[in-house]
Amino acid sequence: MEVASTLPRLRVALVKPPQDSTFNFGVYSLATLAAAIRDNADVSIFDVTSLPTPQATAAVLKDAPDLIGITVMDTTSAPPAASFVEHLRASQAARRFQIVCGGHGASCLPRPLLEAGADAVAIGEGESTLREVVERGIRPGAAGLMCLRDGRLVAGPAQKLISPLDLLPAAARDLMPAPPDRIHLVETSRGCPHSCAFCEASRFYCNRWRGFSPERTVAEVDRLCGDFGAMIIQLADDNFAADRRRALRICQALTRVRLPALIMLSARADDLLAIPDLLPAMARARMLRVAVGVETLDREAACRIGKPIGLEAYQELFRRMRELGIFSLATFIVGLPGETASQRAQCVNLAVEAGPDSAKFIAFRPLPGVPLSAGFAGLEPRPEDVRDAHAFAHAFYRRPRVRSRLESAARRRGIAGMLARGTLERHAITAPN
Amino acid sequence: MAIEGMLGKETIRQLILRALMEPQFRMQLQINPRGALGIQTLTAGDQQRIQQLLVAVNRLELDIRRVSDAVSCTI
Repeated sequence: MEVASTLPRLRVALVKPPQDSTFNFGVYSLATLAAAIRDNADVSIFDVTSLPTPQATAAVLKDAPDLIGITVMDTTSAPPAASFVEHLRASQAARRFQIVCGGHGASCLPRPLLEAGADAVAIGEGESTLREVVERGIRPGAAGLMCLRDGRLVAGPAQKLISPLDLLPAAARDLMPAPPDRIHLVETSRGCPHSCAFCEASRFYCNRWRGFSPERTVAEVDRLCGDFGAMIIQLADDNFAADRRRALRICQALTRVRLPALIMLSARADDLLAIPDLLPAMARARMLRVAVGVETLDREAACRIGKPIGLEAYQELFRRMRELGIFSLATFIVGLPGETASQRAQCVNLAVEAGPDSAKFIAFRPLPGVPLSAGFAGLEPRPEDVRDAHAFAHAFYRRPRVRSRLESAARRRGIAGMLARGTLERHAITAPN
Repeated sequence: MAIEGMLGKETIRQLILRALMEPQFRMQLQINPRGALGIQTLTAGDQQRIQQLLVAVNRLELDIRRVSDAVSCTI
């Protein structure tokens, strides 16, 4: 007699809680977790991002789950997630459920979530840890788990990273609601081999980069286009081009399967430039919007944050991307620790000089555990950095060279032209027809 | 031959992509769909499908414009 078959299966609700959120990374990450446990549990995914907390709580508790998993995507997600945990606990009926939080935000800030009533926080990569919780319950001191005991944080050893990543089953897209913004996510790799001093993502994965095989990645894109009608795909990778040869193989193979209209991704400039064939192959694979984290164009500051890439490299990158019809988005950090007044004053000038199609200026946010955050009090960006980030974006899009580049791109056919028109419209600059 | 039954899911997807990339083809679909698709007859169902296809193309273009400078690190 098989005892296991007579036991009731655990009911697991995986939840993206109420919060301000763009892009649908949270729900996609829940689908990868669901895939890892669905053979052992009855899993549901709830995207309650835009619901008021009382309605979100009622929706999640309706099916009386035994275990609730909450994704906490970054540090700004932690306060609303903690509030949601409190509501769940306050609404708890006689039947006890357990709550586990996970994700980048939970790994950075476990204590407020535990104090709000979560039974445990999964630190780092979540699939193996959640699977063990489903199989054996929450055990303080277990690998990957952090719990609160008598006001003290009790952490188990680090969870072993899954390797190779192809061991993971495909994300449970059948359990996901359709993405409300119609942007479908695909993960081709996790982590980044570089260790930039401001970045939390590489630390989340223990400074290790792992990639899914090109075959698996290409099959996933083909399946998304064929079975789910995907027309816009965002690669969820921290740095798609970390393994340049692999990135090239993926691009070459993608041209032989069904493709969406647009694939968007993030990558580092030096990785994108390392192989001359890579950018043209990306353009052929419809990777037509690439976000490049520049952070700073000041040489001394760039070396200090562990990203010693010079202005000339960015100029070459953005020029080549423009020639290939790839729309570029450069991101800059305002208020990096140690930034001088003259460095800040040059930020917009150098951004214009580098030549991206569009730019985002983001105030430095001190994340726990990140080297550059040492000495910072609190988690919020400084008000002057937030103010300047807004002012820099405004100034950037009003520079004649930026407008001229965008207007020229907007006159072109194809995806890059549409992206340029969208940028012009958003920044209230008249787009050519 | 009418397009009813001829247009599988993948063919429609390819037509949407072509109409998105080629403004001339998109215009032809609007004003002369028989010519654009190279077919002789259009049933009422065909015309409805073409209208749906054009709506899908417009929506896709709006989606693309909307994401132009959105960053993924804001969750």
